[in-house]
Amino acid sequence: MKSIALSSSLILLTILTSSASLAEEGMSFFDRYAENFSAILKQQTAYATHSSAHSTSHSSHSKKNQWQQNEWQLDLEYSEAIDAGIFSGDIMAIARGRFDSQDELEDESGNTLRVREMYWQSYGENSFWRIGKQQVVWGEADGLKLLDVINPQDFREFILDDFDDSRIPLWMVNAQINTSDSGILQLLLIPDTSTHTLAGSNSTYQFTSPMIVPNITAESLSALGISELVSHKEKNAKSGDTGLRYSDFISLQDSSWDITLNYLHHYIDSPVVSSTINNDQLIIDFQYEASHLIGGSASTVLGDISLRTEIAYETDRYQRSENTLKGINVVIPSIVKGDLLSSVIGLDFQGLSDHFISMQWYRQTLLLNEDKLQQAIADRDEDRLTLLWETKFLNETLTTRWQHIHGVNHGDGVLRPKVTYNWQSNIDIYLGADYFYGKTEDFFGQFNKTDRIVAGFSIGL
Amino acid sequence: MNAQNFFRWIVDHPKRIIAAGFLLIFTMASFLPQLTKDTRADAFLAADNPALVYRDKVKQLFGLSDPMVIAVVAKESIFTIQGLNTIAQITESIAKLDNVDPDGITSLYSENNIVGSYDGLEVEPFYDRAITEQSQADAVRNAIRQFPLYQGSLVARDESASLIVAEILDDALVEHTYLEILSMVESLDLTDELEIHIAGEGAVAGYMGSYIDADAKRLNPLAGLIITIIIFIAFLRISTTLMANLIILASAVLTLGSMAAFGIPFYVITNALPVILIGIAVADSIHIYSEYFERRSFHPQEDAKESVVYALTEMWRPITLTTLTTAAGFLGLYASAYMPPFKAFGLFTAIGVSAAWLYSLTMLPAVMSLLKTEVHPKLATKIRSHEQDSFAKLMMALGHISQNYTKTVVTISILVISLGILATTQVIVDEDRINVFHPDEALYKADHAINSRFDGTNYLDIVIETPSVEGLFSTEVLTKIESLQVYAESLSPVQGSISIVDYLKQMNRALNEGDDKFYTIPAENDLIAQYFLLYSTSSSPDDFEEEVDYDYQYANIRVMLNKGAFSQTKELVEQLENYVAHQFNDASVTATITGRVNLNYHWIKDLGFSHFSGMGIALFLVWLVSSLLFRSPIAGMYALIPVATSILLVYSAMVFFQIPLGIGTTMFAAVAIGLGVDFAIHTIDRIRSFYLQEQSISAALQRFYPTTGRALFFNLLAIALGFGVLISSKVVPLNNFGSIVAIAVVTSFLFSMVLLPAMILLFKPNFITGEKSSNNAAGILVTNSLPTLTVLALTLVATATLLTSNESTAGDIELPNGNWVAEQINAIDDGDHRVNFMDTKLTDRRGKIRERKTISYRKYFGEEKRTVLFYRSPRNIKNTGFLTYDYPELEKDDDQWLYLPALRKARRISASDRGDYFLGTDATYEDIKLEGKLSLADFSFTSLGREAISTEERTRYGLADKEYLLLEGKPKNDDAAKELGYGRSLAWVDQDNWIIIKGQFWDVNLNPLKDLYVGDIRQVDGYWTRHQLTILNHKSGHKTEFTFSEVDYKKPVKDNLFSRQALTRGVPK
Repeated sequence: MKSIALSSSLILLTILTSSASLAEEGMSFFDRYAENFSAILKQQTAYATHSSAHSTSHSSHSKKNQWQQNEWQLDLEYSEAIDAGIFSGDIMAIARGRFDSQDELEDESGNTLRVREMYWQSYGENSFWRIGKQQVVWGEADGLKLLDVINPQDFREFILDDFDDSRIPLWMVNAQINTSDSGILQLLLIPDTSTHTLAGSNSTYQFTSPMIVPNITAESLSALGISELVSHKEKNAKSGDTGLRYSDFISLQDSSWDITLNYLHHYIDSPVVSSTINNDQLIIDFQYEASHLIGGSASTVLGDISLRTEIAYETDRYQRSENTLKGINVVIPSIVKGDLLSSVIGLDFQGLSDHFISMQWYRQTLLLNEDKLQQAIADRDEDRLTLLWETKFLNETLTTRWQHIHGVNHGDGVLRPKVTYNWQSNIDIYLGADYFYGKTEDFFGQFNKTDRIVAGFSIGL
Repeated sequence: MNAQNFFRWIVDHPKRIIAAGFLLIFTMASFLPQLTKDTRADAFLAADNPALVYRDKVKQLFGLSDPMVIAVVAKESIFTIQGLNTIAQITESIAKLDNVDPDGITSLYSENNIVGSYDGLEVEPFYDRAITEQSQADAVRNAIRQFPLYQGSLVARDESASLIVAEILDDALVEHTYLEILSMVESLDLTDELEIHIAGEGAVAGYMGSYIDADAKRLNPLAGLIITIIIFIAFLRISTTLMANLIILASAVLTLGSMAAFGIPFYVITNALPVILIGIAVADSIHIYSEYFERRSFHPQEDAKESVVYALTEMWRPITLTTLTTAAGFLGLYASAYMPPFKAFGLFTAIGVSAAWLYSLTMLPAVMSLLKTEVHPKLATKIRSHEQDSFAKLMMALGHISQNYTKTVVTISILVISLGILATTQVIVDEDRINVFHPDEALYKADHAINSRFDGTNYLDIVIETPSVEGLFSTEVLTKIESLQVYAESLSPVQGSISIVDYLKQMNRALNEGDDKFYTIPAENDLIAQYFLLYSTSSSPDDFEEEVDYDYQYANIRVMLNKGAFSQTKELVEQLENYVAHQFNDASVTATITGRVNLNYHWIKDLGFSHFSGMGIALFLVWLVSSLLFRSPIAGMYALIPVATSILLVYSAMVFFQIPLGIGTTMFAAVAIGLGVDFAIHTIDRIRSFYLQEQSISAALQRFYPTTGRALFFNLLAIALGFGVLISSKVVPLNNFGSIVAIAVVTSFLFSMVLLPAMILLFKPNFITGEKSSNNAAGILVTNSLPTLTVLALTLVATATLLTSNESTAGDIELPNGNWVAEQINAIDDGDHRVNFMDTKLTDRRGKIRERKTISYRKYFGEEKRTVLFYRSPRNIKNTGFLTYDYPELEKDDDQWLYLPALRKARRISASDRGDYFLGTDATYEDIKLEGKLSLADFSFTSLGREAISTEERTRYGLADKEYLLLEGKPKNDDAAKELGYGRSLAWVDQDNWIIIKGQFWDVNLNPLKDLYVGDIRQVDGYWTRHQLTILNHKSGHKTEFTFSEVDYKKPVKDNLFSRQALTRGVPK
């Protein structure tokens, strides 16, 4: 509410201050402001192909109908250049309204109307400033997040939504300073403590894998003499995040590299879930913990192939584990703390005209001692492979896309074929499918009953 | 790894080989749907052939093409109610067809009569509604009698028939149009009084496609069936027939798949390719199975796999030799042919032969090791007992002749050779496209019917050019035209001609009360202009669009001939060229001969030379390969003799039976060499091998005939009967081709079986008697190793490639050097930096439009050029950005990034595919980067001349009326051509500002690819700037229009705008 009020005022102010000049110029309001507004209307319909819903052990959620989603989303964008001394620059605001008539995703956000992004930006002689609610994306990986952890994510549709739509913009100061002809130092100050928005209980994409959420059975509770479950949820992280990135372009004799060095001190956007027993109560704590992230990325082109690499080292990361309580043969969910090393190597092949073939190998390594490793649910090394194949036809008006993410350790994954046709200059229509496979306890396999066919369009206005 | 180990590995891992083999087949088969057909006569000429280029220009100027000609023939007179109404009905129906130019229909119903009246001229149709009374028909007849122009051209001189001529819009669709016209004609309700005939080049091209398809559908299965039967008779096993068919399938699919993959269309002559492949592909299997079954007969206890290894080890060398020599023969054709279909035929047959070789040496042993086929007991008994079946006995009989009548054989051969050499000098080169069709075919009959009654369906056009607009308003020029017509009509086989002069004479007479004395050219220049003006008040100015252009600067004389054969038109074309060279081609007027007959002349005139040079090259290559492989030039000569003799024998037959050397038959020499030499190679190879063991030529021959000879006989049967199938073809040239190749191959076989052994017996050459033996059983040839053979194969290809290098045209010595011109273009100052808006309009072939708006910035950092472009609309792609660093060093690839707002990331993209199309437009990345400049690193340039742009183009793109320098660009090497996607380019350069105002581009196969037009060229801030670019892509039918606006060379552009991070910030405000 506050943000809407703030943004509306800002827009109104801008309009009012410039409206005086309109009269002098003899232009109507519409003439003057039409070019400042643009909009994009998206519609997506999803049809679930499994008759039973993604049901969890906690719920007896049975599926009502097959239609999963009939969502309309309108992003209204306003941009304006302002000339105000040292505050000269541009302002930009995007408001989003979303309505889903099926409401099967049953998330917390539900139908929304809010300001999505709003910022002021300006170019200095050797600097660039963007202050406001925005998205900042780091890293070279596609579809995977190693360094791209600045903005939290809305998981109402798991990872199926475009990241640009699922990323949650944050209020921050984003300053970029040129250190040389090609070097740029970026500083991020993020007081906004928003965190991931998870899919709500009993929704289609609620997390149920024990790798992510604790699995507490009734038998365990009874064996422990627990009669009551108490949740302590910390709404948001305690304080804001800080980030620093140095990026440069290094041109050598035979090759050239884009490199970045990244540091981020941030609160992990998903809560650490721990539990303690107090008499007959099991108290479940949801805490947001801080972590340091140090990493970097590099990319270059070798002939027809682009090579992308990214690495991230994170401290103080908590992993789901299972402990057996002393004396009682019951497994209770727990956590272990350690460091995490993630890396990705991606190869993009563009040797065939109109084809883009990209493969990535992602590895995440838990840096835990042997003891903790035994307890952790995740494997020490978690590997994922991704494949993206895009082909364009008819002067790039028709695009077919095949995306596959495969978890090597557990043999689970997701397949996402899609066909998009640019019907008019400003209208795209598409048809696709999302197919999950694997065991229900795995990261992707937990959604193996949520396969769906999607169709939709977007209209740029 | 030696051969034995290699084949052992194959038989030990058969499934992998089989899987790989099928994968390759399926992969190549996946290309097959892309195979296109091209039955146009124009396909026989390379796209840059000046005759073709000029003909296309004429097409543009006058809208003339190769028309469909429909004749309505009556028993007595066409001027009857039904006759004229039928003409009207057909004219109206044809006008509605999509591919027919509604303004390009000429018939009694569409043409106008020119008569004088009190007020001046009356230009009225002969008739414009249904005829209801005979008197109306008589009026039409009388009007025609007063209009000499139409007698013989539109109406038969005996008035029994009339023509309807329809110009076609798109040659590629002519087959469909022909079928539509056929069905329209069939739906007419005609009495017995009238007959309809459809002919003309349009009909020929139209029918050719389906005619040849029907033929192929019949021939190919027939050839396959015959081969299968032969194999079965030879080996008595089903599995052998299946395997032979598999090899054929692989060969055919790989060949046709390669053609499709490389975008080579299926030409008329390509129909012969599958039949040839069937014959060749099976030969290797025959030899391998023969050896294998012989081994099984003598070593039945041996593991079948070992037998396979043995057979392949024995046979791989001769098989490889024959593949190389056959490929050499076809590459000779590829090297010497100047027509794209022949080049394609030669090259892809060589590929097919190689594919058969590959599968015979890999897939075949793999399958054999799994099937473990046992030799048929009957065959085994025969082999073991050395009993000779009838085939072996036949071969022994040949051996008997060779050994016992040695000198006689050699003498007769010398006689045959001498006669053959004499005959070669008498061979006639001739071609008439209508003779593709069997005399029973409707089209053939139609052609004859029309050509016997009218001036003819074969056209020659002579384009008259004057230096300025309305240059034709000159009695002097028109008199020259008239004289030219008179001269042309005096030559055979010209029957008539039409030009603007005929219309003017008619008008002159009409305006002088129909007095025949005034059937002349008006006496004064002004009068000519006035007559046209007067005409235009009574009728449409379009009436003469086939005779003059809009500005009265160019005129066309259409000369009609009733014969189209090269031999009958050659002299005519040469005489006209001679006349034109003397009487025209001065400052006031020039004339150029063009049209279908001229095209055919250019097409065929070099055929003879090409045929003989092709044969020479093929023979040379075969000799070279054979000599190298046998390590003896004499052996190479021996290998050539049977096949050369057979070719000479064929020439004798062609002279005797009066079969001309034409399109269909010219290929026979290269084919016969390629196929026939196999017999000689195998003969020499095996005789040498047996000699090593027997140390006696006679003993070697005794072993040779029943074994290798027998296998060669089946080889011959396969090929000869395969080609024999072509004898049943309805396509006459293919029929001739099949017959003569069959004769050549049979005689080559006979000479190999009889003459070669005779010569060996007589002369005892060292390459048979004096070679050291190697350790291998059949190791006559030192070239055991695959690398050596590979080098040989490559040498072959390199030789062929070298022979195909084109000479470049010298050009006019007054013209500036092409590369110098390119340097001037590149030296244009385009400012240190620049900002502009760019609107892009993309129109697909269906007319659907998509628009994009972008803003781009460009700046030089020293010699390095950096460009960044952002999309501003539509909203869906707003903020998409493209950044490129263009380095001056040639060896350093550009760096490029693409920012996708949906990902919020800038992605590095490879810059090595410069020929890829830029973001859905018809401009490539290289085009965008060059910004109107030329790449001297990739192309070499030649100035061809000076040429003006057509009025229409000038008007549309706002270009000056002047001459532009015509600059041709050719890629410096194949890599550049392939990478950039251009095989040739033409640019029209304005020498005042060194801007290219028009460009034409051809793809790597020299098919027209796209046209570029530049418009609204003016200076901005002192820099010449192109504001409009239009690109028309002929292949996809897509059009891109770039419009540049608010171009600013002064507004400062910050350096940091050209960085990856700046891309991610979106459109700069």
